[in-house]
Amino acid sequence: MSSALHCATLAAYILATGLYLAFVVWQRRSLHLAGRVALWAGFGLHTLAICSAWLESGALPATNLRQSLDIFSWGLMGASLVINLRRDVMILGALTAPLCSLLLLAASVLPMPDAPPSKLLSSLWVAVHVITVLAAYGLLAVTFLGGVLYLAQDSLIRAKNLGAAFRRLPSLTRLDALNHSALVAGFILLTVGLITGAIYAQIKLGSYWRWDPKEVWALITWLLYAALIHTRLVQGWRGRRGAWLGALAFGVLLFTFLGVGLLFPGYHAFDSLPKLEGNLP
Amino acid sequence: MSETPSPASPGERVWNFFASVKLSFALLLILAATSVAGTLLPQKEPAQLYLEQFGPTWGGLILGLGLDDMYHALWFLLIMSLLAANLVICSLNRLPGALKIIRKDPAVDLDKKRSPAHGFTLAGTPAASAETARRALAKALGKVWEKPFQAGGGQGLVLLSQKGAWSRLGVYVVHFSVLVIFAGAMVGNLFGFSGMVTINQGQTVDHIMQERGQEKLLGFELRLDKFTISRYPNGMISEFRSDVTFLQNGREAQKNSLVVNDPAVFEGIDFYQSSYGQRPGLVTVRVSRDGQTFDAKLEPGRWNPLPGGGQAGVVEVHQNVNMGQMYSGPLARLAYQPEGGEPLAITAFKAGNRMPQRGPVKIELVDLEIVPYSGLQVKYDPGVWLIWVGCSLMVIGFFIAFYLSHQKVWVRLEPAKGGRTRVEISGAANKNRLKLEKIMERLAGAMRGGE
Repeated sequence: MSSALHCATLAAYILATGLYLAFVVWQRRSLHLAGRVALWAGFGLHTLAICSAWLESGALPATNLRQSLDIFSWGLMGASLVINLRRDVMILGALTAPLCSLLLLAASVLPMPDAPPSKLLSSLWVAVHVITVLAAYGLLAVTFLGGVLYLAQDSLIRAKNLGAAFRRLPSLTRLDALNHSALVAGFILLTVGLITGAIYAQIKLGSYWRWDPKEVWALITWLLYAALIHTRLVQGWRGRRGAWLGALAFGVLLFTFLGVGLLFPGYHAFDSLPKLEGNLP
Repeated sequence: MSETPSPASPGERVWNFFASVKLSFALLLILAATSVAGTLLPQKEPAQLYLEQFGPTWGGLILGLGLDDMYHALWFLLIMSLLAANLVICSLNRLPGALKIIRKDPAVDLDKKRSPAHGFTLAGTPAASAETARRALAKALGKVWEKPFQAGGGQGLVLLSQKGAWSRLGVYVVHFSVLVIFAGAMVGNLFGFSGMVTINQGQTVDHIMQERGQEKLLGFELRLDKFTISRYPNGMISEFRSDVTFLQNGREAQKNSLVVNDPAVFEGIDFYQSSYGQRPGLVTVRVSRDGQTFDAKLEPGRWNPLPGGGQAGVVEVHQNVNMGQMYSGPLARLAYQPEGGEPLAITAFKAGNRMPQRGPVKIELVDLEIVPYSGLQVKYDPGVWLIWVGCSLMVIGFFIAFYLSHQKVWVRLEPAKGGRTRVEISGAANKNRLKLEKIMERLAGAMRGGE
């Protein structure tokens, strides 16, 4: 059931990619609206796919790289759709639709977890921890994408190149508003994700913080975003410098998510997650 | 950072240094960058490992900088303390200003001229429009302050309403929460402990081994009543369980069944099931010396006094050794110390062996018990509740700091020519100007709707 839903989700995202590319070329509002409908439908199917996989295995399906990419793309799509209810940056769909399609495609060819999830992972605490963290990643990815658009638009304006590309990109103010709200919401969710993980670790593993590589890198990511928020709020680094620092922070976030999961040992490593046992030394 | 035009005294300069947001920014980045090292280098391993793996120069450097346990290294804690100091001083520097704004009487400067976001004229006198303005303001923001003034030969009126002044404290809630979390971690480090204890089935212990090998008295006793392993039909282990009793002054105080990830708590100390195995229990020996023969039960891991003086201990046991014709069966290596004499190493075999015996004492093995044991992780952290308080405060603080704002809206009603009224709406917000603009727009709509 979940794999059929997975395919349907992918189909909807690919359809939306086509619609948004057409929108970028012809700039018809109807194409954007159709693309948005396809994305919402895809996101609904995606949610159902995750829920059905959850019911099948008894634990939130986030126990290896394949499943984590799947949930990350869900978080990214959800974040961009929800944020856009208020901000209405139309071009965002043209970035998230192909990106989430690629993420889902990558997930499709990666292997399924080789072991049923350990009992420790079926707790609701784990589900909340994973969903909040990956939704935060999604929101911070939206900030990153918005930052890229910001830098692109900014360089067009500086070069006084006010042609086709300039007309297709949203105004700097609007992009900055998008970046700000995604950044703040992402930072809060990341904090909540770290806290729920700490609570569960205290209950089951005996300490709220173990200096596991994933924990440390998540803390590094958190510190960078904290620094970014300070520069924005206090020093007024909206705009270019903020966008560059945001890109650095997002690079570190990606490393925390993928690099640490693949390269470092520890109980958060993708290949040891399903077998997570308690009372780690 | 507050820039003072007059040259600052050294004290002021130190204060300003610590109050600066640039310092926070730098410290956050430094903490982030240095934390990386601890994920690349193995942590808390024996010193020898670093010297072997990285060579004497680099290994020595790692050990010298404390990178083998960097999150507890002095310099790392120093950066954390600098961040804490920065947080405190930065907040102290800004808090009085924030409090002044929050406590400011709205009636002061009420009739000051402000640049309006919306300006239009309405029919009728200011007094006629005042009621609409009052109602619309109250609906949008709450309590309304008013002040009449004289202008253009008639009487005008300024109305003000504001909301969320206290939300300016949100950022201090967040900063305070970080300090609470730091405090929680410190309390845990200073007053908490963690370690391991292994207990044989039937044994009672009163202390645990801490990380660096020190013993720690618990202040109560813990007995392992029974250790059970349950298996799936295919032979895989499904669960191992320790039935334990906590004893306070020798009296049973609490009984628990410990399984993995289901800890027991006694006197605030957590006990987690962690490992298990089998090992020698009591070793019964028959001692012959000075023409006397007696049996003694030796407990592993300590000196056991013998009847008639002297003591003996178990060094190691083997359940079965095969020495061909000479001997086959269990064996125990013992240490024996006669009263007032030097300790001797003695190997004890079962009776009927053909091993040569020498020396003033003969010790034979009567019985060798093999008992299951259970390994428990023990953890006491009196700072945990501070961590949770800090985390909750942080999330609450975030919502206040990021999603609530101090919004102020003024409506100025001034008499204009032809018995009309000039309406000017202006506003101020410490953040979320979008929301402020919407409020002012709605207000303008409500005022005009009355025309």
